[in-house]
Amino acid sequence: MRSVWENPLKVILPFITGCLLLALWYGAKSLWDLHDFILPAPHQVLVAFSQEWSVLLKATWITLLGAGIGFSASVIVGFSMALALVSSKWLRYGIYPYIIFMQMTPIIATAAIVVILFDVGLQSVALIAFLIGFFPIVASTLQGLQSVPEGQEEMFRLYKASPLQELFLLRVPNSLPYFFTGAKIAATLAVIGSVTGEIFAGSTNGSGGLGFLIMIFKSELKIAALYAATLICCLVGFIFVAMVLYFRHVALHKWHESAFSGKD
Amino acid sequence: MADGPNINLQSVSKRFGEGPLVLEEVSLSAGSGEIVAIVGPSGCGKSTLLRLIADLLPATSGEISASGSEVDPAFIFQDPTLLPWSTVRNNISLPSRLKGNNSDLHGGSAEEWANRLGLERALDYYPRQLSGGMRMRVSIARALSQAPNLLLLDEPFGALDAITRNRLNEELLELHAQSRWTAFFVTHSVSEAVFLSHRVVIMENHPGRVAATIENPLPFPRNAHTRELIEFQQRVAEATTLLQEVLQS
Repeated sequence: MRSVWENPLKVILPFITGCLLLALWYGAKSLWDLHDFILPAPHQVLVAFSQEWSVLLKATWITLLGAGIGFSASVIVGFSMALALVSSKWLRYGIYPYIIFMQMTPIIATAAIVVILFDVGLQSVALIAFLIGFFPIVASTLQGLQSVPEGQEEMFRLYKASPLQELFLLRVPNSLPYFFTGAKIAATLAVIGSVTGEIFAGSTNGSGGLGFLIMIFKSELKIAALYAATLICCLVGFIFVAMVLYFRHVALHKWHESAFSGKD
Repeated sequence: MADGPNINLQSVSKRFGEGPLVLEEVSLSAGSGEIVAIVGPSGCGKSTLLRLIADLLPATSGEISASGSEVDPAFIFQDPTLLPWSTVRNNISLPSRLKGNNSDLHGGSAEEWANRLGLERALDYYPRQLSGGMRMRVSIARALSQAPNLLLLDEPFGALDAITRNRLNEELLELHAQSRWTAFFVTHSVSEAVFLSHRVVIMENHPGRVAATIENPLPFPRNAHTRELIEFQQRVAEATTLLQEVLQS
């Protein structure tokens, strides 16, 4: 946070890049003479924002809800699953290959199957957001639980720590930085999962999230509004990641390098 | 607090799995309250030997026995092995929390141990805020707060600068004078070995064996001035020569 003010380049350079991108956008539009329903101009997207803002706001809320429920579930279930896997070799050998296997399935295909199984609506959207965020959390938390420095493990053995003490006083704190790395990935994916889910399962009694809205705008050829909805998807992703970074800072800044160096 | 136990190793050998012998027929002993220094080339099994004595690893053959009093070991590792998410205070009191007696630190509270090692102003700091020397002091405080009667030190000061290292050596002897634990101290520094110990064991490599044992009759208490004594320097020279012979053979 503080580094922004110490280093003005970190503000100025992105601003210049932004201006260049806008210029490129306008330039491409006039150079190839692209029609408004192929590539609307940036100011037209702004107009679409103001015209459609109430629809967009409502859809954003629905998407936030789906992604939020899915992400929370992936954090809770993912962390518990990692605890179970590190505690039992049987579970680890028996289940983990299937978790990896599940992760290999493209989310679009998963989404189609989920909608067939659970019908359209919030439950399917949240489930898709959950499924996509679950794996990175399990994988990174498990790695953190397993990668305790040998000396600390020996120390716990020397002082006759119980397995539960070793788990909660040593492995769990050690896993937190890893967990937050996974959660950051899951936060981005939860929004992607939620929007993908809505494209398949978005409509519940005529209203839906941003993914659903994107489908509607596309069929109605409201292309500027479609761009606006897409931009809001990015914004929602940012909100989720910022939230995770905030919690990481709260949990780790006192003792962990990554949280106080101001990197990423 | 009981005095340290007598520790006796009789023909102790160790191999890991089907691998080569790491230690072969090691026999050595430490009387109650004696400090035995172990020096030798890298990879001669010194650290393994300490872990056998601490019962962190089982010996493949041979016998390790203790007499005099029941063994209550503490280990000081080369790395301070502090928990980075815990403050100095909580790191020092960790062993008692693990043993379930929350309030009861033997021989003084976490604060008292911090005072003894000059950490009183660092109690609420996290390890990453401390220098290497301070971290090692926390590690020592953590080990001694359990009032162990057997202390195993695995090159604890190897990563520190010479001045800090000498000062910690002197502090360690002051603490020993108060508590009389038995100790095994692994080090690469011959002068550290001579300064601290009643006896220096020189080990050789492949497999690890005892090459020579030098009795060290320099009187206690020893302090910074001890290093200036001609007898001290003679012992260091003598042990260095022996170690060089071992390294060349």
